[in-house]
Amino acid sequence: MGIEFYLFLLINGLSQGMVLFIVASGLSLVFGVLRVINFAHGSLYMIGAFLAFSLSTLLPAGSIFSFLLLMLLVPLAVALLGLGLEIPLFRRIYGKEHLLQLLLTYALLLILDDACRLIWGGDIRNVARPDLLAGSIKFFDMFLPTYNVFILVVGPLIAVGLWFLLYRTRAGNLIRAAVSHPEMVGALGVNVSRVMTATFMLGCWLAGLGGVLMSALANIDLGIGMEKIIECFAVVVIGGLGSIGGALLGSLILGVGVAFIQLPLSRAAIVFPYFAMALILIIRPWGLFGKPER
Amino acid sequence: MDKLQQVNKNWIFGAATVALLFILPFVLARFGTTGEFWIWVTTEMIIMALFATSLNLILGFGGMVSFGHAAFFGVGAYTVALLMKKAGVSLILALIAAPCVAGLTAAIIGWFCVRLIGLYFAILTLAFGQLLYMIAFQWYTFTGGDDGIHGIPKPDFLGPTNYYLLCLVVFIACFLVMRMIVNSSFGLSIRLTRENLDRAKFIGINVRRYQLINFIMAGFFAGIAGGLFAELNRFAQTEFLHWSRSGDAIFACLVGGMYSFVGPAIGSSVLIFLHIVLQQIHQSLVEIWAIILGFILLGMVLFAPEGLVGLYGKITRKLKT
Amino acid sequence: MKGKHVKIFITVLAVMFMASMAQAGDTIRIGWTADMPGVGATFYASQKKAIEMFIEQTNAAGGVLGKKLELVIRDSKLKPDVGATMARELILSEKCEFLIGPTSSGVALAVTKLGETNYAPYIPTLMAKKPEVIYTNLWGGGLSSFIKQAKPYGLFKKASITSLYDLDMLRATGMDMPEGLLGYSRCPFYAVNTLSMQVFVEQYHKKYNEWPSDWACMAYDGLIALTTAIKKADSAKSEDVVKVLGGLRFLSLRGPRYLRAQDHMADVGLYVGYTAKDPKYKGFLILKDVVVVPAQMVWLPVAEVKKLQP
Repeated sequence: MGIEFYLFLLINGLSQGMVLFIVASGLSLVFGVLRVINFAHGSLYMIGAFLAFSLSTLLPAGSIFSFLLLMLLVPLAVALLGLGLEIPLFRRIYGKEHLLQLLLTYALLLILDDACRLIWGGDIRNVARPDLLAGSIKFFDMFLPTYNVFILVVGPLIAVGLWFLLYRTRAGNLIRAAVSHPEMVGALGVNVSRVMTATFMLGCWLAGLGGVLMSALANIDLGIGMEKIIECFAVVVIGGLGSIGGALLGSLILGVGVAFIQLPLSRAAIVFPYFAMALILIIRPWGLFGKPER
Repeated sequence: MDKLQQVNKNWIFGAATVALLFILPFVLARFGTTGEFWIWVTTEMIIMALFATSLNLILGFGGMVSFGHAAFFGVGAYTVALLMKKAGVSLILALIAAPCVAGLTAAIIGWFCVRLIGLYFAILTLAFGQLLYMIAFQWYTFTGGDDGIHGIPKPDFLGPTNYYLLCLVVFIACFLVMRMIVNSSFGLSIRLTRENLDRAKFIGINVRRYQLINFIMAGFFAGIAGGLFAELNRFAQTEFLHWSRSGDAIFACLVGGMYSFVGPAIGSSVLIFLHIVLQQIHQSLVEIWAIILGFILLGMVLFAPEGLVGLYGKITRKLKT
Repeated sequence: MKGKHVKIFITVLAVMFMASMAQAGDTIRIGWTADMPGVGATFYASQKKAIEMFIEQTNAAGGVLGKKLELVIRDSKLKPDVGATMARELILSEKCEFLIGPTSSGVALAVTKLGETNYAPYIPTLMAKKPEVIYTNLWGGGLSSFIKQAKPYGLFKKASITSLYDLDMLRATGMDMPEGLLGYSRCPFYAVNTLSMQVFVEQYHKKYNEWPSDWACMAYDGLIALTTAIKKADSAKSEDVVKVLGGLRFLSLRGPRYLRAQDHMADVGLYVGYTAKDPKYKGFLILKDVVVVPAQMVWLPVAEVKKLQP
């Protein structure tokens, strides 16, 4: 096999990693500011995917504008749902024991997943790719789906956008300050709880966006939330909890890792996220980009 | 004096409960097949109570959230299944081997895990648990893959009633041993590591070592529960290792009350009971079980983090004043 | 604190009395341990529709042996041990004479419990092997995902894929399904020309406004076999009914069928055909030029079955 095949594998793996990054960065961001690891993050991603499906049946099929509209509306809807969860539930558990936080978000996962089953049923769904992205691009003698290339463009855009938001805007300064010195930010007269709510909504927005992108990449069913939250755990553990750059690196390691490990060991691909997660936790528990806690 | 009375009262309550539990299957047996069904259910409750109590050694007393506890339950179940089905070992020997293999597994996994605290510990246990799950899933020749191992032999004398009694005896023995551990000086040190890690280190407790021993013991007792459960169903299955089963046990601890010793056992019995009764009341409740469970948990986390036992204590105190 | 235990068990006794009081002699209770969550939900929904329709129709026509049918559903949550508990409950406590389900075989679990709806990482490696025909044990949602994802990689320009193409899978894949692929199906309503199937499809479509999936037809057929057996045994007791099952002839939606005497396997064959578009069915492809492979050619010989059973 020639070098172009490995290049092809790499590109394919990177595009898989990008969707993962978008979802996992939301989880990591929320953890960084709120110190809560949200088990229900995968469910929010799933709700985004199903909402995209429902909305797509109302819009003209095949048009790129319909798809862009999905990418605009669905994440906003998921962010609003996040608002509805943050105010009555999450606010009560900030700063409490990890155990209670884990249990609350796990309870939320049960409720949201089952609500999805009641609303959308168990059918396997998907959103049709817009005509513009449905074809493939010739890559040497292989074909690369245009949609994967599209994701390869969207992913870095989101990463740059997040970086800009966090490091080049006032809101981002506040968020970052709230991570490191919450009391100081409060003392300066900033409404910390509003910063937290906004961050949580941003996390949900990312989950929703990941859901929309995934709904046209693969089929969606009631299992995708659970599947994604485990992958996200692996990503944030590898990259370091709370670090966006870490989430990017972790996602790409997982995406590319799975693409290559199955060449020699086809069965290992499925164990790879767990293995990578365990390995990192053992040798560098705070992740590649994180900071040690104790 | 008050304290002493309370202790006496606990022992009397305990003895009465045990006596009732011993009589129960004979009463149930009089109710025909419905009674037989409830013997099965109560047997499952006893086994799951043991599992939840074992988890609480690290959860409630050690303050460490493990999402990988089902791994030891599953290892115990597979040990019994493999030994009895493939090696023809007797039930008693298999039930002795199960906790030993589970304890050994816990020693290996625990050695890595206790280096971490809080969330990182929780996630690493999850990763290890799922690794074992995946291995069981893929290793067809040894574990039967996703089919699991079916048809574990059942000794002739073990009808539902006798098996209930066997499980009860094992449960009481384990329960008392675990209670001893919790109340020993070792148990006190473990509780101190939960309350104040730095202080525990300061007064010279080898925290990691204590936590590892605690982790191994919890795995050991989970292995017994898994072994009993495999024999009850006469199969072992990959689902036994899945992290959602660890989640079920954590719920049981939360619902019952993880800061009391009997809490987890009560919690798991209540949850199993509730599940079955809700299904019997109305079929539509079958379809929204997870939602009901979710809301119960939400309510517990927000308003009664000390569980049913804590709630019961609050109510009785209120009634007295 | 331990007093709590006592209270719990007193409640247990109370519930048992209620359960035993509720016994009624004029119904035949059919228990169903269904796989409701996650991936099982697809089969659950379509089977439930067919089963409820069957029971409604049968009861409207006076029931079986003058007794009404009643369905009792329990959720196995895709966990085998929960399924076992629920089956025990249905037989012992709910006094169901007959159990149906579970549907999900090891295959269903294998495909789905590992949470694989995304095959894209594996497709390039597969293509590097330059296959002509891909045989796969993927089916249902997994297969649908695979086909959709593999299509833009140009996989089907060079290779064809063959597997179980049931209606749920065809519907889920939609127009992404390549034409001209050879596949098989268990009970494709559009390829069965019996009168009873036509009536069934019409009623089903009218009631639910969708086409019956393979699983719906099969669940309906299962109940036809069961009620035929009850009538033949002239008894609704499971031990009597079991005796007449071997060699039982019944008129299924797919035409007259029988149960093999030795292991009660039904002689339902396979339907093999090529995928094609049909103007009658919008949004999905069906199998065309269908050939029926009789069960006698594909089922396991009795000796093999005996070997597999523990």
